[in-house]
Amino acid sequence: MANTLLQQLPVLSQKVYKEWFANTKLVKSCSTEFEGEFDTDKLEIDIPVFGHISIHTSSLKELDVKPAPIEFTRGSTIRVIVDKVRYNHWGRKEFDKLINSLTQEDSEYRKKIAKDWALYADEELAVACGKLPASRHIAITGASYLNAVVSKSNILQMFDILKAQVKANHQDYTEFEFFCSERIGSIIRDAQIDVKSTPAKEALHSGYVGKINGIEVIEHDIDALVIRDTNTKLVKTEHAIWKTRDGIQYVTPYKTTDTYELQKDEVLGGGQGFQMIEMYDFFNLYPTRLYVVDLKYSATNDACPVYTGANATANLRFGDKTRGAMFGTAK
Amino acid sequence: MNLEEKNKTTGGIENDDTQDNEFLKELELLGKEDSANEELNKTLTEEEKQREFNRKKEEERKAKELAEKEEKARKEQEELELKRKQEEELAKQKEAEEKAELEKEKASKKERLQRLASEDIKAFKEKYPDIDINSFKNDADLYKQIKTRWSPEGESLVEVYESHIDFVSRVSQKAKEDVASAYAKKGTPSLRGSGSSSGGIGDIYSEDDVKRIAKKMPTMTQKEYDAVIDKYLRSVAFYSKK
Repeated sequence: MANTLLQQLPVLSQKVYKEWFANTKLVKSCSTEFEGEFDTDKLEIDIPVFGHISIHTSSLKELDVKPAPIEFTRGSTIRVIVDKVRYNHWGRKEFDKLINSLTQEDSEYRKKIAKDWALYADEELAVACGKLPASRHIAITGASYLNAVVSKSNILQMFDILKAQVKANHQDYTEFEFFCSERIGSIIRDAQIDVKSTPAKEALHSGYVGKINGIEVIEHDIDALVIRDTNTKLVKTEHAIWKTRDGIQYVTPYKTTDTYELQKDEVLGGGQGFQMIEMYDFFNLYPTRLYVVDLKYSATNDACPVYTGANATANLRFGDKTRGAMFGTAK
Repeated sequence: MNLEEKNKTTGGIENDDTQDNEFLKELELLGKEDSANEELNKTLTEEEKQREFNRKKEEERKAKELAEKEEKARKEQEELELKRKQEEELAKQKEAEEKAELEKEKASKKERLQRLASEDIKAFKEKYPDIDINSFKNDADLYKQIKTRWSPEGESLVEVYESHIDFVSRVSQKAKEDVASAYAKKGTPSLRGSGSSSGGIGDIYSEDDVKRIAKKMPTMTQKEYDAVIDKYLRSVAFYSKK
């Protein structure tokens, strides 16, 4: 084979993808299932959706009753258009040295790339959640709910409300996870609440706080979701995310690394350019499985992070992503 | 009675008035007789004419009947001919259809067999990516086994190959990997005891497979990637040293 380095490039992308995905907190809690070949021309792929199968009742005495029509769950896929692209773009003079250093199992360089991509992906998804319309937000500190800031005296009541919201939709609240900042952990500590733990989650999910009042709480470190106090830097307000695994479908059907020659007018002596590309998108195909909970800790008139408009207040690590951070739509 | 006979009977007295009257009466009578004869004659002619006419008519009828019969016979003949031709054509058509059907069946069976054979070969290549199928021709025993036993509807190529390797290994008391290495693709190292999950001799991909997987890798799911990556990296490492 003339040049095996080219065969290592797609491996590099797969390795980075595997690593950055494991480094995330919010993204890895999403469903990553998709089906079929990714259509690179139309940028389409199918996502399986699992609807409930109706249970019919009848009586054996009614012998002449025809059976209810059969339901075919096989066709339960939703075709989506994947139109987001994430890429790195860098140059290097010695192609093989770079590839060798990146494809090593313990490559520090690759770990750095994976960490950056994880932070970026988590932030982007968090911003997309925060930008969901008001109908998808539970303003828990508002007059309709607690009518007070979240504190050690009402934290359990807050969890009761969240559970009740899910139960009212005939759903199981144990399927939901609560993603919030470190401030909730502090309040739980102050309230001296007994925190239970699910061993598997504790082992696998970084940021796992525990099970409080039957709700799995996971602490994230996405600053785009919080507003901090100017002096103490403690979290004043935040958008917590209350979701199931299938509440968000995170799809990455294409990932590769491309290489190309850098011209001498771009780099002295020329060199090799690289692009690590991922095509991805995220969707919310079950609307009642994803909520944004607006939490306020110091005053009920404090504002939660705002991502768009003239007075955007979100603390974005990677700059303005108001264009990209939007849930994709099904075809 | 004519005029001379009349004169004889009267004794030749011609100038007497009474004789004249009688004569006139006789004449009259004669005239009447003549007209009666004429009428008789006339009647006879009409009857003849009628007969003649009837005869002619009869002849004409008979001729017409004959002509009609002939026409009918001709038509029947024609119809029979047409029917025969049609039957012949139908028979020909049916024969052609049957022939076409038979050919189609033959072709579809052939196609099906070809398809099954190619699927079988594909399955073999998947299970033994490092075995060169073309090398089977060089081994008379294996080739004979394949020719007699391999059938897309019966024993698969994998079964024939495995049973041959098993047999040769038992008889020669050589390891299966060593026996199989005789059919390995060029450039594939002998990897005896490599513990390949495929059960084949090699645990690296062929060059073509490496290229194919590299092309497919960007769209692989994590599960697909995990399934191939170890062998793929071994293969890339092997070919990079070459």
